[in-house]
Amino acid sequence: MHALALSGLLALPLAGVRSDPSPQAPRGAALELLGNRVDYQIDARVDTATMTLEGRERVRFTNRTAVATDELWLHLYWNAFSSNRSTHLVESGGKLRGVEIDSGWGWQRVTALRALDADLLGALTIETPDDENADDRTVVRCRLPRAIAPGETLEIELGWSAKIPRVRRRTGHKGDFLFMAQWFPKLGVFEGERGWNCHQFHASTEFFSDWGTYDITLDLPAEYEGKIAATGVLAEPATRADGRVRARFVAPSLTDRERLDATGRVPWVHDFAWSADPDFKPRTRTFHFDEWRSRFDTEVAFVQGALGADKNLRLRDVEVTVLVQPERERQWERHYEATCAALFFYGLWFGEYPLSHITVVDPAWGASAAGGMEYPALFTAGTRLFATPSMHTPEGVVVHEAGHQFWYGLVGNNEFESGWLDEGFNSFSDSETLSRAFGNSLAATWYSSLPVERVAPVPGIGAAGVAAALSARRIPLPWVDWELQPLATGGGVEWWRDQPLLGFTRARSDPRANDRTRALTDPARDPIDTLGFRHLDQRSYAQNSYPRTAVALRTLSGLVGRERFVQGMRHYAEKWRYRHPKPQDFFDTFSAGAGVDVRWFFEEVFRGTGTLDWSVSVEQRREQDARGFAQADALAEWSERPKVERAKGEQAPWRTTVMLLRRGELRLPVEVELVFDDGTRERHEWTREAQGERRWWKLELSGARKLVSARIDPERRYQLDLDRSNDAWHHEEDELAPLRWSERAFAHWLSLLFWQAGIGG
Amino acid sequence: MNGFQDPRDQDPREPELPRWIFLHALRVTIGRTPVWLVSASFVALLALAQALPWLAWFDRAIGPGYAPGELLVELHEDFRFDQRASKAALDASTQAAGGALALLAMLIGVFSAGGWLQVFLERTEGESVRKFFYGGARFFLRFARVLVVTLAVLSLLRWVLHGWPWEWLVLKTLCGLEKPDLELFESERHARAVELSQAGLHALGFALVMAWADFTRTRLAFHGTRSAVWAGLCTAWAMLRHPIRMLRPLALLFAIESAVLAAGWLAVAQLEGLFGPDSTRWSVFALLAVTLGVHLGRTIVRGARYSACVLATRDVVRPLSRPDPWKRSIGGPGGPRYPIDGDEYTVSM
Repeated sequence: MHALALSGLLALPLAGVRSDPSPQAPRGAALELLGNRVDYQIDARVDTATMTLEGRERVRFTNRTAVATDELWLHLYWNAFSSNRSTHLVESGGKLRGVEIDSGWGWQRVTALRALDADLLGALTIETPDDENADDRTVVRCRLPRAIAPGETLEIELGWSAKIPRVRRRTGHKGDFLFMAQWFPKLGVFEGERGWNCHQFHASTEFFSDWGTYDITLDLPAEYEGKIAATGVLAEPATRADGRVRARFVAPSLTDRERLDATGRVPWVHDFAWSADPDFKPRTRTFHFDEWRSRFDTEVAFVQGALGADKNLRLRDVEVTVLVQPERERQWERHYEATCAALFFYGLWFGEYPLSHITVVDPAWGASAAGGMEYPALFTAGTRLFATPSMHTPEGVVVHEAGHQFWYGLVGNNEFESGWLDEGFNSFSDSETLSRAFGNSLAATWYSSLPVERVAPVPGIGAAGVAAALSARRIPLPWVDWELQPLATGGGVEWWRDQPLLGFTRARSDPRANDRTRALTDPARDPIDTLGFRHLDQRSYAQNSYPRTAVALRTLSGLVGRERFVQGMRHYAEKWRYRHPKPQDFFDTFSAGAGVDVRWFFEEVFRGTGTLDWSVSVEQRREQDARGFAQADALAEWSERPKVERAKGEQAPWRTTVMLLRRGELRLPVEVELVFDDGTRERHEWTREAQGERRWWKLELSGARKLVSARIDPERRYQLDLDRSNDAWHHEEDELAPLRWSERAFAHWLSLLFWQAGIGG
Repeated sequence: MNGFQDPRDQDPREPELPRWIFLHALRVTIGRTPVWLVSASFVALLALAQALPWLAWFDRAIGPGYAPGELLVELHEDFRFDQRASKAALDASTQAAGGALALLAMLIGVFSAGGWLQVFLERTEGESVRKFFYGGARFFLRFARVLVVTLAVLSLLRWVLHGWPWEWLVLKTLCGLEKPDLELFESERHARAVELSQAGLHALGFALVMAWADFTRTRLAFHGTRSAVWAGLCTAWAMLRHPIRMLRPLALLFAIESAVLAAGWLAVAQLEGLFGPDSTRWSVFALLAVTLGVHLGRTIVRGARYSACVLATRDVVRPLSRPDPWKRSIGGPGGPRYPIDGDEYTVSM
């Protein structure tokens, strides 16, 4: 193996140092890549009989920082799956995506390393910069014979072997399905003064690497011919020989490299993933901007208005390839539509997707752990055989993962440290896209993998404990560690018992409201802007990185107005394209783009854990006529007050007190809308300053008009409000709704108990 | 002598078996209006007990915080989220109380089975409700034993179809999986086919067990015996020997019940689609009428099952032959009878 690797290395041109920082200078007045550039040329061979991989790579690293470096740091991600002692497995409690791992391990091992005309394999050391876990092998370091100066390009030649793990966390194999992510030794990111940014592979974090190009040749068994998808495009037709197929991919494609994107830049990528499955059914169709513009012309007009008439919003055509499993072939068009929705809306809001192609992979059955993940120009989805469009499966995951082409793919934040800058931004964006393109989703109840798009209006019989025993669902037997489950039914029997078409109801969900639900269910234990691997636990990380950021952004939009929000986000997306922004970069760039100073908002919401809950209550009654005695002045005699005479039909004026209350630490300027019985409306603003002085505000009203409703935040601009049920008051209460829903509760329980009675006789 | 034979009934012959048992069963059941009304009301009252707390909860939760009509079409996500804490408490109590009510419902089923059988085994008309209550009490303990046996059989069925036998025979032996893990299948289609087959077999087995239980109860009442296990074994044997004659009427009644339900599903879908912010109480009442109508229909079909079981049992099961303790006796009809061979009495003629 070593001889093969070394002979291969020797066959390559001698490694050396080049002084030209950009060997493929873009044509025209292209904007320079501001960060480091790392180009990979890889030749890899997969043996599916042993599920091993042998590879050689040549890495060209151009140091564009102002600081020299005499070392290299590399990721060996697959070593996270080498044992249950790795940092990844320890942090996840020995489970990956809910599955206890006891087999299907994988690993990576560097077998050759040369640079600066020296064999550096012996200089390789294992590093654990985050937790000093002696069993973790996901980061290695190599000291160079000399420093690489700013502007220098270093060529590294590396050989490695690997055992392909069973796919449990995004990468690996299942049967003959291969999904190869983080599959090659990858250089960390050299950040100049900050040194090398090369974190261990944690359970909750993702990835971070520099921009560049990829030239990848894959050698696979012939059965995979025509069934290989990758970040790049085929540079030439695949060749077949001796029962094997060789396919060469380049990313970005050569034609893409000759085209400047809307920001005047040549496209780059910062990762390369690939997938192969003899069962894939490839389908291809092209995304056309005009088709979508005609469907959503109002949105296009709004964005044009926000960004200015001069802004070119036109998006390029993109070839969308969907690789779907045979049994789910009917869903391929839904994958395509959802991808186009992301390309359209994200492109409209944040700038054009610059590549000519994008690939969607439907993971094989049993490989769902590879699903729901993004890579440059390729992403995995995940669906079910009988999922309907109303469930937003696979639409939801497709929009989200396609959206990552923008947040992470174009604006390349450090996912280890600030995952929320891509996940949270993407969660916000995908909800906005889904609600516009696909409307609300419907919750479903599943009976043996067949869905009914309805849910129980109220809960049924408890499935555990005493209730389960009394209802004969789970009867524990005394003295033996066993339980009877006579009525623990599933599938058809459960469906007959529940009668969902009779007693269940529809439960629709706006994807944007769903962000709020997920964000506010648990109190925030860490600020959003917390290092990814420093959160209290996985749950806190997930809550902050995804829905809480989405809710914070939506609230920000409510605060500054949607027009300014679009301006701020677009400015940030364009300025930091092909760069690695940090949180403060976002805060500063957004503010500059939106033309507003909202630093206090970023400090309080993104760097704090404060909450917000407004409420409104009303007391209203007719003024009482004055009675008793009156005195003109201090010395006058007391005399009885005259009775108030009113004209026929005239009544005493209304006396109304509207009480607004604020709980929590956050203060946002908010409006309250009052509606009166004569149809008139009033709006009052409760300013941030006033909220700072006092937690309450009383509006005293008096007059002939009767207040019929009061609502704080009438446009529902602020999703951060913990409880919206107390945001409004209505004079007239709904007497029908309780009756309507309790009738459904009655119907549901009638079916359950009728079935239960039938068991008795 | 038949234990259900009314002494006033002078015709000892068994009635002729109707050509379509299920239709006859439905007809006679519908004719017992008070009985199915009473039977239906038992379960409806239990369901009402679960629904009333929800009425109170919805009233409190909706209150003045939501505009009239805002929550009529559906309970939007903000409502579901904002009310989750108070709802959680009621969810827990509903689930807990549901267990007790489920047990009560099963016992009501036991009672009702006895009631129905008493009504159908007695051939005279009238006083159906009295017969229903009498029969329910008379057979309660016996049928409670049948319930225990039924649950045991259902546990066995579940274990066979979801436990080790299924995993060994189907997943490992027939499907060739290394481990009983559906994800080891090549494709989702295979996995779902196995899953749906399992669910289908369970449903079929469940239905057969229910039919067997109904016939077991009928046999116990018909013969006046006490052993639930023995009656169950005999019933199983009879079902194996006469599957069509015994199961056909029940299958047809199941189809009738499905038709009633299908009509209910359509009606509910239509009525739910009409809900809007301007809906009135009549919309709710219409929905309630459909709910109750379906429930009454299903109760009638449940009663008809017993009528059908009685007819089918009479067809395939011989009455037990027992020595008539009053065979050697003298006395007129309607009056006292005196044993001839006994030593208790002397008779002067």
